Amino acid sequence: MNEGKKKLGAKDLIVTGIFAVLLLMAAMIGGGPFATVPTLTFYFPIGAAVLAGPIFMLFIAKVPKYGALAIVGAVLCILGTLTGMHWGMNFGFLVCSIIASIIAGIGKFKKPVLNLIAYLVYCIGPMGTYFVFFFNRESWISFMLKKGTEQEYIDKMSEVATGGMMVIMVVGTLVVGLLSGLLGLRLMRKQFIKAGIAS
Amino acid sequence: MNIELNNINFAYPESENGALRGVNLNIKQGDFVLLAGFSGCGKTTITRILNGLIPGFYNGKLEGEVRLDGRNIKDYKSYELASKIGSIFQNPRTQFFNVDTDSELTFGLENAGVPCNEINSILERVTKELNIEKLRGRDIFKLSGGEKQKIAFASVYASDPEVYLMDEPSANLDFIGIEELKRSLIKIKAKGKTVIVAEHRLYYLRDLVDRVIYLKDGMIEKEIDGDTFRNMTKESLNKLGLRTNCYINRANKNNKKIITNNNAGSLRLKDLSVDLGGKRIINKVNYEFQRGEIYCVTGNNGAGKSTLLRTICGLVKKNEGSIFLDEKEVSANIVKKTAFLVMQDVNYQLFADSVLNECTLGAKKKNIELAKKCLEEMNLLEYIERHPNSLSGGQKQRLAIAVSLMMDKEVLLFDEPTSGLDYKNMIACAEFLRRLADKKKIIIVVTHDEEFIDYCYDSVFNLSNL
Amino acid sequence: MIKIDPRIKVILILITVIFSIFVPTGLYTCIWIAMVTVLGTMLGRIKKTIRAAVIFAALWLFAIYILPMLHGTAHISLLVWLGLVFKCYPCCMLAGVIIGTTQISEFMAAMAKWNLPREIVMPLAIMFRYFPTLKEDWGHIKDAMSIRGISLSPLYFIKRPGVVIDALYLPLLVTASKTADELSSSAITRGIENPSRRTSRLDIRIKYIDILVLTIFTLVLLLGVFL
Repeated sequence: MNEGKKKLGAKDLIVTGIFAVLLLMAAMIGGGPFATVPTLTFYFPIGAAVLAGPIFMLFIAKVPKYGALAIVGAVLCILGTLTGMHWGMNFGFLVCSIIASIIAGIGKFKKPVLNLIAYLVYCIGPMGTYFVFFFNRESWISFMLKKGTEQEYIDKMSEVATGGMMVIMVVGTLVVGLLSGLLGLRLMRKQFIKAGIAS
Repeated sequence: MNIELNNINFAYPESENGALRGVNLNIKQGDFVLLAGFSGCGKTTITRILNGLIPGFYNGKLEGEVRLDGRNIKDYKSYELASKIGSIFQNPRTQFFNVDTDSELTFGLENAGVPCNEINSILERVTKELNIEKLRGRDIFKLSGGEKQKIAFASVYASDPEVYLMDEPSANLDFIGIEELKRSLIKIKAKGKTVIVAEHRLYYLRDLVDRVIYLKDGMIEKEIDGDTFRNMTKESLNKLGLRTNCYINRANKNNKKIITNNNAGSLRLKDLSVDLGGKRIINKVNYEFQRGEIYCVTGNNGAGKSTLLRTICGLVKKNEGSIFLDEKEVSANIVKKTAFLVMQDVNYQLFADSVLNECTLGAKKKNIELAKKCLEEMNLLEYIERHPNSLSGGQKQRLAIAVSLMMDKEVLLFDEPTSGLDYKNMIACAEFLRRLADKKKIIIVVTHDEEFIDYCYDSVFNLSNL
Repeated sequence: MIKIDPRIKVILILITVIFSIFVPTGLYTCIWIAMVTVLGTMLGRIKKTIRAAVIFAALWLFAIYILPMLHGTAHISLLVWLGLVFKCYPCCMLAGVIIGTTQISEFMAAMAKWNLPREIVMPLAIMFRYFPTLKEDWGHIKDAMSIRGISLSPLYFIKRPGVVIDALYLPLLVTASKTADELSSSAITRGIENPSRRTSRLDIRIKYIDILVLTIFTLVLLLGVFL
């Protein structure tokens, strides 16, 4: 991992912990309703991208260092693993957070466009599990369900999970992520900087 | 530990408040020093320089030299300072790191890597010395503000520092909490510890203080020795912008004015009862709040003061009884539309990106004229373009009041409006309440600030005596 | 009541994750839930553990007796949903037991013994500390919105999206930032930056009971995988 200019101090780590909670809650509140309904589960990444934009933007403004976002990814990955989430999602979080951290870092965490791209990359994280589904259906099903699931169910899943679905998921997430990220940038200018909680 | 501040200059990057200019101060081991002055005079800044948060945590330009026992403070690491200087802060909610009290008490020792059995024997000793058996093994989130502050104190005490630094430790405490705090302070003073307290509320420190450092605009304007301070009258303190140094005795004057004029209308509670989580919090309360008077509601922790306010403004459902507004029984919905609560932490209530927009937020038509009028009434007109969060505590509070005026609310409720306010702002707050009362609003203030009550009340309603 | 080492707890969760991956839903899931229930009760988290077990039992009975009576889409959706729930239940329930019975200080000291980097341990510890605070803050913010007549209903959002967005994010993030600042200054002045190894007031050692619990879980896992 890239070592930033300065090491992360206690304050940075505490801010990171607090924002990890906020980002997690944003994903759960936005995406939760989708995740529990089977036929809508593919829209989870879209829902998860709705609320987090402003939180993400404020977070990288508060801790403009490499590693901070990667820690959020790592922490979410650990929590996901411990609560039995699919590894595709957990490592999706981790990998995408690291990439997002590097992208935002190119602009020293200050370039709005790069921060926006970083947020989009971050939003792709939860899709990890669904990518596994598309590329390796057998493994996904055996992970998510008992062995020897009824044929009926597999048919149903394959019926719902067409290529078109994947396009909707990816494009939908990116569009929603873009809007949420733009809202985040707007709130940064309009609110957070003036409020003195970010500089 | 001898503390020397030599010609200290400091300024925060984006604010003039709290800057220090040419401060020289020597504090000997065992001194009990009170830092006093208006909000923003720099007293908190001095505590932050001593515990190393400036320059480690807060940015800004620091000039001059601080020496602890002759050694420059820059040569201490943050954790070395931590073992010598203990800090207690204003907000009991945010200064603990753990969820349970036992872990919190030993947090400092664990950071320092003290061996397990030693930690436990210290824990037992501290429990005994501070009488906190009842607070052991509890969930911190379920403690009252006073109990949380006691845990904060005890956890610093467990690390046994030479110097105790306190930044408005009483701001969020009720009368009993402050008495507990005072008892703890007596104990550490007797042990010969150095105590440095930055505080607005002075009465509880009266018998303890050795020196008062009075700051103004970042400079030490004068130093008052303990005995002189104890003999100062209320008037001479007030002239300096300080609060009283005596306990206020309000025993036999619960009602200042006898209210005869009953024509203005009122808010009347009849047999009001409220249950929360299966427990009866408020039981058959009967009371009448007249328009044009200021009512102070007092009572111990858990007497249901906050619940009463929340019920009146419709945030909590009542279980029994009724509420009458101007002799007409009103439903929860109507109450919600006519009542406005100014919360203890106003930050929750401010949403907009400027003071002006805060007033017009959510209104169907932007009535800028009315907004300006309301802001003028609250002396905020000059800040119209500022972001609400950049205002001072007292200003934020007045902004919330301006919002209530915009919404044409009739019943105004205040939860601890003076916590953390200095003398000047406390008086200002009282004056504004009086103005609102003169507009025939119904004013109900929950407070444990006796000084404030003494200054502004018309009637005191003690909830725990019912 | 027993106590087990946080490190063993983490290993137990990992074992449960492996269990979820390799063991099909069935009798062993029930056994696993029973073991977690016993463990949770013995660790002193009685009410919530039993509640979780009862909910599981209800779902299980529903899947066995009522589900076969349904047909069509309802059948499929419920089947899929329950399949996912049964997969995640052991992990989530154990995670609940462990989070509920492990103190932050204990966790931090145990992870320090494993030489896990502070960069991971401290944010994790703060997360557990911050959840309840966020809950309190959120309650206050909802009250504040309600006093101002702002509602979180979709209808109100369509009418005044800007107002809802401001009212949602500003107070939440302002108080979160304030909490972060105050918590950090308190932690720093109490020596959190000390580089020497953390200790704990609790005796963190692997004892017989730890080995026993670990052995039972491992045995059942092996039985489930190979039988």
